[in-house]
Amino acid sequence: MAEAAILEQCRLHPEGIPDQDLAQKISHIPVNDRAQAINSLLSSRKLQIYKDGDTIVYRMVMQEEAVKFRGLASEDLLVYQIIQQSGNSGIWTKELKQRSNLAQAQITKIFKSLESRKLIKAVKSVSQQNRKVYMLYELEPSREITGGAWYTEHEYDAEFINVLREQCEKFIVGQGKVTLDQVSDFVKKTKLSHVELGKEEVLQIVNTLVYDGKVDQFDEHEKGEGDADDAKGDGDVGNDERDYGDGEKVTYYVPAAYPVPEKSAFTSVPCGVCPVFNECRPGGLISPETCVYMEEWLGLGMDPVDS
Amino acid sequence: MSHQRIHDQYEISLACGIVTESFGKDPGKICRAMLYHGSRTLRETVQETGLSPSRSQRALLILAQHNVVLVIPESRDEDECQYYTKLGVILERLRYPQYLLFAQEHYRGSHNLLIECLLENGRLDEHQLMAGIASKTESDRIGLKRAIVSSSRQALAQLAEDQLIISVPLFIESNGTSRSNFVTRGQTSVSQNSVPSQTVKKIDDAGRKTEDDIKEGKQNNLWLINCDEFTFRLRRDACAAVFREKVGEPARHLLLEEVEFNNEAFLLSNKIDTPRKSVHGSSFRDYSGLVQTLPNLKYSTCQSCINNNEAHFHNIKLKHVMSLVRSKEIEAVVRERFGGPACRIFRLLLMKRNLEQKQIAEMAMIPVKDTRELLYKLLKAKYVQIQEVARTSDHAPSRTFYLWRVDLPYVEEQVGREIHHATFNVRARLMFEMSREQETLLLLGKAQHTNDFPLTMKQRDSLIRMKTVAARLECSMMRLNELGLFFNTRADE
Repeated sequence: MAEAAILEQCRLHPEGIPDQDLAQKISHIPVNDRAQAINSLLSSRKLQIYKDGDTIVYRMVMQEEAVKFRGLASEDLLVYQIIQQSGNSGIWTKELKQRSNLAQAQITKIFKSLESRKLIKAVKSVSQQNRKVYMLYELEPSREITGGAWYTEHEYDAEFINVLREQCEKFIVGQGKVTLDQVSDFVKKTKLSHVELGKEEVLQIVNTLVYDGKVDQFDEHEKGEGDADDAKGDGDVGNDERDYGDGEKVTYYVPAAYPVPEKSAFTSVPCGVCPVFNECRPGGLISPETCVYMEEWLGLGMDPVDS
Repeated sequence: MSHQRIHDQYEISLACGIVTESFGKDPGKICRAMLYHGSRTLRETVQETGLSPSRSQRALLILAQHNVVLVIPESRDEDECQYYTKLGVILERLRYPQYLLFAQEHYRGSHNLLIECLLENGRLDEHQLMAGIASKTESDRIGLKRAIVSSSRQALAQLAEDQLIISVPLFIESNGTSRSNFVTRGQTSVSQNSVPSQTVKKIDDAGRKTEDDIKEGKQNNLWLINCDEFTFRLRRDACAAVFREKVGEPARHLLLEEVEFNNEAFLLSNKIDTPRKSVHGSSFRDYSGLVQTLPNLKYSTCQSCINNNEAHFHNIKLKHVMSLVRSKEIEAVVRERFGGPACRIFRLLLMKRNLEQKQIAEMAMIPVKDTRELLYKLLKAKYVQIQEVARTSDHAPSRTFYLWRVDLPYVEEQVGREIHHATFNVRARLMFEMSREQETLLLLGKAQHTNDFPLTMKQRDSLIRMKTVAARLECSMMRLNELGLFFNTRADE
């Protein structure tokens, strides 16, 4: 009778009923009977108990939930709860072992059991490829785990990044002078990515173009356009410390005025790109006289007219 | 703070090769000893090279005549003169063709002859210089020769005014305490290795001189090429060419005018061991009109070369332009040698200074594995450095930060050395190719005298091939020298 009353109250409060409220509602049932009934319901997994601040809250276990957990041991549930607490960041086995105080073999067994019931799932972390983290089956892994937009199936998608970089470069060269917002809009419009790319991601792409020396970046204060700019292409920090007032600083991207040269006089000779340059000495095993790269470069061994 | 540039063996070998090729084996040996061990007395030189004293004297004489060897006069502590040489002074000889091209471009008439004569003979007095020019003039007509000599005197004055040549007294003051000299006008001239007999001087055994010599020396100053000024002008022109290419013709003028105005040229040659002097004009000049025509300059990386103190006052510093060109060339080398991602990492480290491997991988958007590989390749080639910042005293790797960075001045020196190494290799290959065809060349030399060319088809083919190869190698050496103008600015410091 006490169990039925408790379940009835829980049914009336599907979001959970605090311990004090429950005591008030079923005040006609003695405290000891109430405690016994709650324990009985908890052991038969018809009732869930959790804390909300300092208050103990009871909630009825839904039918479908009860089916999911049917037959699970209390250790299984403990592991499940710890995994649940870790959210979408997941939890590593070692950490779980510390928190649950269970043996590794037992944990492995529980993992298998929970995974087969599709209650939890194992996800590989991109930062540590050989480390698996566990999280609830229905959760979407966090960005730290998946690597964000640049990873496809836990693999770094270099091709996708290259395509994005090329397109952004073309856009900047074509436009002449753009802001990050404009580049971001362009990426969205052209639907280059299946994943929604935020400003941060686009900035990351544009920054690589700056590091490549293909694009220059400079800040301009909106107030008095043209007369108060602070070039910082190439990362050169100038000595210019003028006061620009309160104008908002906008970062612009332009095609590089002085890109990295295609060729250098040094790299035009084989020595400039030779992998064994430091081992080369006259009369040595590798020497300028017998250098195969120089032979090729000078066109030796070919017909003189052709060369 | 002065910076000691360490020469590597290839630079020394290159310098010795140049001296040996120009003046013979003995001067080459002496230069090697000086470059490896520093300043030497005549006695030490004799001991180290195994040459007889007279041969050593002769070799030193030739080297001194060509401004390759300098003298530290005897002092109270030292009773013998010390002789020494500088690597940069010897390597400067590789740029002599550029000097001639520069002279041809900027002067007409006798100026080129004068410069050619001084490059060939080192230091000459006016009389010897005029005699040299007269001998170079092909005409037999005495009147014409006189006219050329007369115009040469004007050319001499103009070149001196332009500081491309300088005159030094025959006798050099030594710290204002004693007057000493290492050359006197010799009575017995020994002609060796194409040094004209009239220009050869003799070192007397004790390195001392008579009062008559001193008086004569005062009257006959010696003229020599001011290599510093030539190098400065070549650098300035090279920088202006970069500005023209990257920004446009007005920018080139802006640079040239500003450099002319600030005149950072070194006035005196390092060859006479005189302290360098520079003249600084006022720093700023109004270029407002000109700058308005340079919209590209505004947003370009070249902006770092402009010290923009007020809206329409600009000042371009040659050293900033040179630094910009140097870093671009280094980036090109890194990209060509290690690939685009390595260049990205290099530039990222240049901009952001100290970064951890993980940060580099994230910012450059290169997988960590590839980043690590590239970083260690760059480290091996000495283009990047790694710094260990331990959090605990046991230096445990797990509790240590490993920060990567680029030490640009060091990398510039490294590339400068590599350019010299490459020049050495190209030159060695050229020598090898020439020696391979020595027999044919000798035959050709003989044939030219007799106007008869008894070369077989195979020999002719070999000659054609050698000509092509030599042209390519020489052209590469020239280009490396031009690039060296931006690097190796501190080879002697």
